[in-house]
This record gives sequence, structure tokens and C-alpha cells, in this order.
Amino acid sequence: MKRKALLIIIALAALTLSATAAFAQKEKDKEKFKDKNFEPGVQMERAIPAAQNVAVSVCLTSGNILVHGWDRPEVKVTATSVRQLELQGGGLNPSQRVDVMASNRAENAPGEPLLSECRAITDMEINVPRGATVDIKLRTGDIQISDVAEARIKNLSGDITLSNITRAVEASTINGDLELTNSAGRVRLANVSGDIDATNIRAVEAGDDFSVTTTSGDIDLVNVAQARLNANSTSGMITLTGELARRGNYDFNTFSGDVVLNLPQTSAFRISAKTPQGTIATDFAIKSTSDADSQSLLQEGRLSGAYGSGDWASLNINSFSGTVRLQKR
Amino acid sequence: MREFCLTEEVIQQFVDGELSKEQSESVASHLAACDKCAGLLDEVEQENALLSEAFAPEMSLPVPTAMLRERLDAAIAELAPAHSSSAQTESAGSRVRDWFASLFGSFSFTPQQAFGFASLAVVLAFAAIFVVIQLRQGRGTAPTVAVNTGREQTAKPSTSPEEIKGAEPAFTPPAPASTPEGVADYRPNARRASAKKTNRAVNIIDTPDKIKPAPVETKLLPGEQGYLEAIASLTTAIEANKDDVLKPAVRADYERNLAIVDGAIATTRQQAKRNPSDRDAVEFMYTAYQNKIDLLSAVADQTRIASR
Repeated sequence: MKRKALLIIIALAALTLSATAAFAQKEKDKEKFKDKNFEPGVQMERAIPAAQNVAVSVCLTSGNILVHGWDRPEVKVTATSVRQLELQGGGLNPSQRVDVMASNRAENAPGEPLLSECRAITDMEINVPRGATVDIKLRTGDIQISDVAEARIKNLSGDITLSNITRAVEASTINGDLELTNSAGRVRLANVSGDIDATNIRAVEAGDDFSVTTTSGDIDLVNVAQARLNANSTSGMITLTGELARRGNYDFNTFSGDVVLNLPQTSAFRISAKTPQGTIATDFAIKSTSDADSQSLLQEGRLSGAYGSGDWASLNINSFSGTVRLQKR
Repeated sequence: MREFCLTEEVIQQFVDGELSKEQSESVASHLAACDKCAGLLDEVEQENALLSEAFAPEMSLPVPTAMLRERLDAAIAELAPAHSSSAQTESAGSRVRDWFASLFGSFSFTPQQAFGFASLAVVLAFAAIFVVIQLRQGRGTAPTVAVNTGREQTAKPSTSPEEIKGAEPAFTPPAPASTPEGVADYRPNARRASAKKTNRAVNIIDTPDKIKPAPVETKLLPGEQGYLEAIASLTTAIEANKDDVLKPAVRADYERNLAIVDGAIATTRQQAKRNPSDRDAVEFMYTAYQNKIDLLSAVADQTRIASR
């Protein structure tokens, strides 16, 4: 009997401890979200007629966002767990601009439009006309966009995957990989850490340029056809593979990362490369344009000259201690 | 070279947000300079994510769970087989009465036993209160951070600590009033140098004040002042929101990248200072400064958006 009593007391004590711990954790969670009305919510879907070149904007705290271009003159949004979801189109029909407003808050005055709080936590799938410009601001989550005209993305943490963007791309994330494929137009890609890959990118207009910046990530560019290309990294490696644009201007800057160019044998370029504390290696027989002995210049980590004939592209490569390598494909 | 590493416990507390602001900054700074610890941080976060996912159904149940009640009933039933066998023939009412009778019978203690159980109950109650206070206060009562010793240093920028040390004053404008706090704090080598002074377990939370180097009158190279002012301004903007907006892993990653850029600045600056006519070194130094400004601008921009 005594054993039974002891068992009951221990059980009650365990229950008390569990309950108090659960209560404290709940308080902690409330504090974390700083929003007493926070509730995960349910799946919701909204649609609104939209112009072909509609500008769609989304701002969330957390969640994965998937955007597809389609042929219908309509913006459709499906959010997996929200309390409220609104597509604010500014009163025009079809809408020229659509703001996607989501909220996890249950309490909102009836009829009062949702404000752009950027605090919702939900996954979202969005369909937009192919000519749309998509503007996304996100704190944490992955973003995938395909088949739209323009993509503008600011993400704090998470990967960004873009494909078939036809006019312009501007994407940045602090911590995450960036991938761009089969796209065109002006390109700006930036992250702090995480790799940046771009494949099959072409210009739409003569002034379209390609700019990519990272601190510690690697940059891998394959078949990038813009005539002006700028790649910057502090410690990451920069690799370019593919043909050079005729009379194109290429700038590569790193501190300790390597710069590797895999170019066709038929390439024509002028090059100015320096890596004071690194080395330069080349498969191309480059004619030196300097009065100084080319071998001694190479030993000093400098290379200045030209290769091939015709419309030379201009290569400007600067690295402090990385290796510069020119390889024939 | 020997280097201190954080214990898993400390990293777990860091991820859980249980460290004070100062402790958290010390840990973040160490993570920025130590790949091994940064790797451990990743592992801890992955484990947390895995556990959260695995225990999601359990965590969503009310406390106590029905399952627990069932188990308690079953345990009690096992302790009284006689009652359970006779229960088949008794009515539900009489079973309940019997159960309560046996329950109250259980509490017919001798005075010594009663005193013992009462003491146990008091101890448990205090333990419960203590748990509540710990969980609610969290950050304010984090224990002393112990660190392991004797691990090989694996993470560092491409420059040696000695090289960085030589260029430290570059980050401290001459007048203390204009010293950008955040910029001065981002000298990973300073922290490392401090940690190297002892070979036993240390409380790294106590170190920030100790490891701050004394202000050194330094002649800035032409053009540096402008960069330093921009960096100070951006750093202030980031510091205002950093703790609220950046997750521990992102924060550690940001600090790590900042250390990389600082290493680049220090290396090129040392070179430029040694030989002011070395145009390459000066050019690379300004590029490194610009890289730092780009990095800070990107983070400041993102933290501003995220903090709205």
C-alpha cells in the first residue's frame, strides 16, 4: 500500500512538472512570436483577374514560395496555413498591380483590409500571367519562380531557384544558394554565403548586363551571353564556362578565391590579369602587350596580352592571392 | 596551434536563445572564427529540426496525455490484482468506492512516513517552481559557459592571425569618440589572441571586456576614413535589429563572412602600409573595404525589411 501511495505521489509530481514546463514553454512561444493572435490557420485560395504585365508583390516572415507563370489572365494564390488571405488589386479590372496579403491573426475588424505586415508564416503557391513582374520579400524560406517576365527577390535566409525569367532578375539572399537557368535580360544576383549558379543566360537588349556578388560562396557561370559581366567574390571561386561575347567586357574580382575560365579554343580576347600573391596558369598562347618579359611578369602574378583575332572580348581579372586559370574547353 | 571550442551544451543554449546578449555575442563571435564549432552548430540545428518534427504529434497533445493516464491506471491496477479480479463481479459504483477507499487507505502513514512524504512533496513543488522560473527567465540565468580545450584550430580566413594582428589598428579610428563599436568588435583575431592566453577551461562570457584591445593611435591611409564611417553607420543599423531578425545560424554565418572580409582588409592594409607605393595592395584594400560595405549593406537592407 505504501508503495502504491509513493507511486501516486511521484506520478502527481511528474504531472505537475510536465504541466508547469508546458505552461512555461507556451509563454516562451508567445513571447517568441510577439503576437497573441498568432494561429497557424488553414489552407485558403484566392484569385483575381490581372493584366498580362501585372506586378505581384508578396511579403512573408517565413515559408516556401512557389511562383509559376501561366497563360490565364489571372493571379491565383494558395496559402497552406493562414487565417486571412487577400489579393488587393487596387480597384482596376483587370488589375495592374496585385498585393498578396496574408495573415495568421484571427482577429481583424470586419471589412477592414489587411495591412502589409510581412508577418505571416505560410507556404504559398502563386500562379501569375507570364508577363508578370514578381516582387518577393521573405525572411526565411525557399523561393522558386519560373516562367515570368521579371523577378525581384530579397530573402534573408533560404535558397532561390529561378528559371525561364524572360526580362530581368534581381535576387539576393544572405544565407542560401542562388540558381538561375534558361533566362534572359538584365541580371543581378547577390548573396553572402551559398553558391551562385547561372546557366544559359542571354541578353534581351544591348544594354543588359550580368552582375553577381558573393562573399564566401562559389560562382559558377555557364553559357552566360551578356556582353557585360561582373563577378565579385571575397573568398569564393569564380568559374566561367562558355563562349565570350564579341567585344564583351568581363570583370572578375576576388580576394583569395580562384578564377577559372573555360573558354573555346576559337576565343578572341585581350586580357589583363593580376594576382600579386597567387599564380596564373594559361592554356592559351597569349601575345604579351607589355614590354617586360612575359615569363617574369607571370612569375609576378601578372598577365597582359591578347589571344586570337577579330572582335576581342576584354577580360579584366583581379585576385589578391587566388589562382587565375585560363583553360581550353 | 591549439584553440578552444564550444561545448555542445553551450551551442544548444545559444540556439535555444538561453544565453544573455553578451554571452550570445561571444558565442557568435567564436562561431564566426571556428569552422569546427560552426559545423557543430549546424548539427545541433539539424538535430533540433529532426526532433521537432519527430515529436510534433506528442507536443501537440494536451498535458497530461490520455496515454499517460491510461498507463497510470494500468500500473495501479497491476498493484492491486485482487481488486481487479473481483471487479468483474462488482458494480461500477462499488469499484469506484473501493478504489478511493484503497487510495485513502494508502495515506494512513505513521508520523515519520507522513513527514517523509510531505518533505518529498515540498521538494518537488520547489523543483517545479524552479523549472518555471528558469524557463520564463531563460536568458538572464544562463550558466557559466564552459569550453573544451585542446582541439586543433581549423577555421580561419586566408590570412594568418599574425598578419591580421599587425593591421588591427586599421579598424580603430584615432579618436575614441568616433570609434565604430560594431567594427571594432568584429576583430576575430583579438578574441583568438585572448583565448590563447590560457590552456584551461575558461568562461568566455567574461572575456569581451578583457579582450578589447586598448585604443591605438593609428594613422589612416588616404580614403580609409570614409569607408570606416560608412561601415560604422551600417554596423549600427544592423546591430539594432540583428538579434531579433537573424537566426543563430544566419548570425553565425554573417559573423563568419564578416571575419573573412576583415581578414582581407587587414592583409591588404598591412601590405599597403608596409609599402605605400604598392598600388595593387592599396587597390585591393579599397576593394576589400567595398566588399565589406556591400556585405553590410545587404545585411542591413535585409534586416530592415525583416524587422518591419
